[in-house]
Amino acid sequence: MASPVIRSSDTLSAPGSRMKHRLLIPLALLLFVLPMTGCFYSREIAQTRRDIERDLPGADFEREVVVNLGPLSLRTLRWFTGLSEDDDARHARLLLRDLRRVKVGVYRNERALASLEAVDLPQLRRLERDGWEPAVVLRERDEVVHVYYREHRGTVRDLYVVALAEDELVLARLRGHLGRVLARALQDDETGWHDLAEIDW
Amino acid sequence: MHALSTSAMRTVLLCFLLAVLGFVHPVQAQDDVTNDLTSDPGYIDLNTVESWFGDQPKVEVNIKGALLELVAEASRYEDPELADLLTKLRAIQVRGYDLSPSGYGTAEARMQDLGQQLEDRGWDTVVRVREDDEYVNMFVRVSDGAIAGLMVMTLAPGDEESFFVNIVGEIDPQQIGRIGRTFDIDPLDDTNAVYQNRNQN
Repeated sequence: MASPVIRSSDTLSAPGSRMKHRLLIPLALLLFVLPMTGCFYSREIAQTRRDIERDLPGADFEREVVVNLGPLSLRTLRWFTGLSEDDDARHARLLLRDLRRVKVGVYRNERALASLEAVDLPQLRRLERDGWEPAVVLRERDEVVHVYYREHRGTVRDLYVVALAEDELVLARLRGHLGRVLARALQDDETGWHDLAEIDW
Repeated sequence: MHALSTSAMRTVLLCFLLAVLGFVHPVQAQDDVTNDLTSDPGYIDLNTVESWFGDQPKVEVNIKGALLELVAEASRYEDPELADLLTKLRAIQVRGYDLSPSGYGTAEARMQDLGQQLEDRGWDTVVRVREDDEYVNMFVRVSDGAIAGLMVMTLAPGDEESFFVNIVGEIDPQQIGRIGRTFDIDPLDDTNAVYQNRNQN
């Protein structure tokens, strides 16, 4: 399989200025409408953040970003990615096709934790009571990562990632045809997952 | 009477809809998978190991059921052989611990006890290597003429040097290196090298 050539400089180039103008109005509308749809709040993400705060009495998580995108918002985003010929946009469009909900919360910890190695997060067992299965748990000095999944009719439809660093907490929940998302990312090229991991939320 | 029966009908209909839509199904399905696994001849409850180290594992991996199928199907495009290998498995469990030099003696004695228990329960020792203060043990369980499970135990003082890996399902010991590389479990790769050397000699 020929690996795709990434031309970041090509983004919105040539007929770029016209494209930029075409994008401006819908983008402005989207920015205006999104806050009214509840896209910047998730009760589930907020609850998990509170659970972790209870487990870490010294922590004080300040919200940086919370995004809650449902099918309609994801479809709209997909439409936007379709306006660009860029490879990154193509990747995103393909991934968005099989996602039904994306919730992401990024919190900054005002009082950075000294060491995370011995940190226990018993409140996360609430997720297990809600049917989430722990797939991977990594405990390192500067980071703790929990990955949970939930099955639906014999397939993995939900993924929940909790990543706690000394000064940051990232919570991400994905719902959709995750098998297809994973397969597509692996098929596309090897950089697909790195691109996803390197998104500056 | 009429109102009551309508209400009861509504309740039945609602329950039916919930069941059909899968709201009841996921937790039940996961419980079934877990219960099935514990009765599998190749399964070992790795939680028993936790008490040896008096600490939570630094690495914890539980890949089973739909999640294992997801990984298998996702890798089919790039590596169909690996996908076939994974579809024969029922679960992959990993626990990795740091081991202080002072705790080494106790852990070593308990590992030998566990090895003895496995042999008493019908597991065969395939690899048993001791070099200085490093242990590598590999056991397989044969059931109905086929390998039903594999257990690798590595023990060495230091950070993330003590690993316990249980693979449930039909697995060729020669292929464990491949699984190790896929899931980034270095001890499986190392054990595979020891196994290959031993077979060549």
